[in-house]
Amino acid sequence: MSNNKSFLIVNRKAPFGSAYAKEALDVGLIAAAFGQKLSLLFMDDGVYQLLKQQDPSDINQKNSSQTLPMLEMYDVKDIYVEAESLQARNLNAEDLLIPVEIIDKETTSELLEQQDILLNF
Amino acid sequence: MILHTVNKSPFQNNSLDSCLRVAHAECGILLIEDAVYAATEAQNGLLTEQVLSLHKLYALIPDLKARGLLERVKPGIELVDYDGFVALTEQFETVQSWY
Amino acid sequence: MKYSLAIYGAPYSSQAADTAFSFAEAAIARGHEIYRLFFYLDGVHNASNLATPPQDENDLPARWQELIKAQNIDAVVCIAAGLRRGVLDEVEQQRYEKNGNNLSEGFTLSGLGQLIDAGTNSDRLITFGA
Repeated sequence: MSNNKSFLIVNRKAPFGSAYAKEALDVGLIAAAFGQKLSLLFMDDGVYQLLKQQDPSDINQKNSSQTLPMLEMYDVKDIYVEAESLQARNLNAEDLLIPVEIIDKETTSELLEQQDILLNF
Repeated sequence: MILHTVNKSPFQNNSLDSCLRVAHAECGILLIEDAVYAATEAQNGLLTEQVLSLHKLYALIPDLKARGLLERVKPGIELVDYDGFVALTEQFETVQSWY
Repeated sequence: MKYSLAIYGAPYSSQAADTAFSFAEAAIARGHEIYRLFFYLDGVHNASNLATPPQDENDLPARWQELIKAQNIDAVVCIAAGLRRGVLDEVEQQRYEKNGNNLSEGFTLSGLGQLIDAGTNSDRLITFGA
């Protein structure tokens, strides 16, 4: 199933308030497991998916953030976070659970344009 | 080049704002569903002259008509029907959806 | 060209599924092929054969069913998303000992691999979110 097309999953929603974050990550893990050329972009409220110390046990949900390190196990290393989204939320790289590349809006623009397949969540 | 589609009113959430932040020059931006409200005049509206000169803006006719907006569309925005929507996806290489 | 559509919105709750339907019809009218329809998140509700809207309202689940049959479209419902939200076929009904099943004829339950495959094998993959 693997081929040359590049997939980018765009995450823009906060975790827990809607199903988008969790179900996007499920797609990412499948794409990675199938050996696709995969990158992830987190912007807007999507950056909150990467925050440390998430504990949804009192809201009866699973902690999807705990599966984020699995991406690296599947060789998914291109994880991007849009700088302005982080700054607007008073966050920086130290607040995040996994290593990411922080990119400005121009680079984000180029990143989007380079992809063959855009999966938006 | 990407065709961006946005479906939320700019007063409801920041989808259009975020789209404009990272949209490449010369890309297409199609307003559908509640985003067609952005095609009308507003205080501090996002679709400024500068934005309209940088990107190709479109709005979906059935959604404008539903909302009583057909005669309120700002100049500089091209109106398309569903056939036109499909035609745009032929012309642009990928589609980025904002919601 | 080959198009695949990923639909995340339930009928009636938002316009997403309806927009996707109109797009699909227009794409077919322009001579394109729909490679796959992939229903994910709340979009799985488009595949329920229990939907019973009033007669004077748009019956979107029924229209999807007709379109899929007429055009022989591969309509996939993500099995995990479907189970979670109560969209089951007979096999899953038996497996989980539920008292009914509701997957409309013409739709199949399958995994997220089908979404990835749709991306790989289509010229255009478009997502319709709520």
